[in-house]
Amino acid sequence: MSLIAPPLPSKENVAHRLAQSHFSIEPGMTQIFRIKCSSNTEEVDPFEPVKLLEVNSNTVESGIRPIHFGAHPAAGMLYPSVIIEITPAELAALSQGGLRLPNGWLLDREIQRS
Amino acid sequence: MATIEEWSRAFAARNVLCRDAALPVCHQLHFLQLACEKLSKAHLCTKGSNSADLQSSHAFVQKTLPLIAREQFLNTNDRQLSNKSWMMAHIRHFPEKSNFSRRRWTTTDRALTTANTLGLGLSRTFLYLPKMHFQI
Repeated sequence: MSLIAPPLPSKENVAHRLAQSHFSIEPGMTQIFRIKCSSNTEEVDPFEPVKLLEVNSNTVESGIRPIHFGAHPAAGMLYPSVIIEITPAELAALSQGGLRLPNGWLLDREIQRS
Repeated sequence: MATIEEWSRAFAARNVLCRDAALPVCHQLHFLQLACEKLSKAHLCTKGSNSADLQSSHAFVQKTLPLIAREQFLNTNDRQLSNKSWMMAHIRHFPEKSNFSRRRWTTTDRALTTANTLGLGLSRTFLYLPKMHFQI
């Protein structure tokens, strides 16, 4: 029996899996983007949450409100997560600078529905 | 100010009321509404939200409650997630129906809601909520 713990899955993989499960359960989900810290060393910290910006046509407009969730290893979620849910109109405002992400976070690439 | 123990007892009592089949459905639904609000507040407080902000607005419930429910579905390891879509649709609709999204309640709103809670001469088939009545 090996006493060496298996390596943690990458945040990229976890973010992708989380995004796909959110696509599956939310009929109004149109786009999901990853959000990253401005510093890479901060982003790779295992205690730094996986952060997703979700564009959902079924949500309400209430600005940028990050909602934090803890890790849940039993369900395969080995990192904490942060979800920011916005409407398509709020995404447009975010793109034009009318809304801003907190904590110096940066909008990263879009995760495609698979 | 109420102690944590008093708050715990109050929340527990509310949960019991939600499940009390002897209560009219409209009252059970109202207690469910209050319980959902407390659940959302508790989640946000444990994650560092400013409790003072949560006192003045009900808007956060409409956004937070569906995400908490979704997280619970995902944590059950259920592979048939798409089967839960209809539940998510209802959960997203519930705060709107229950008027969680109102920013501030007026004195009249509070009086109506309190009257509804106590069942003061109101119909058993209607839930009186601020500025709206909806049939259950």
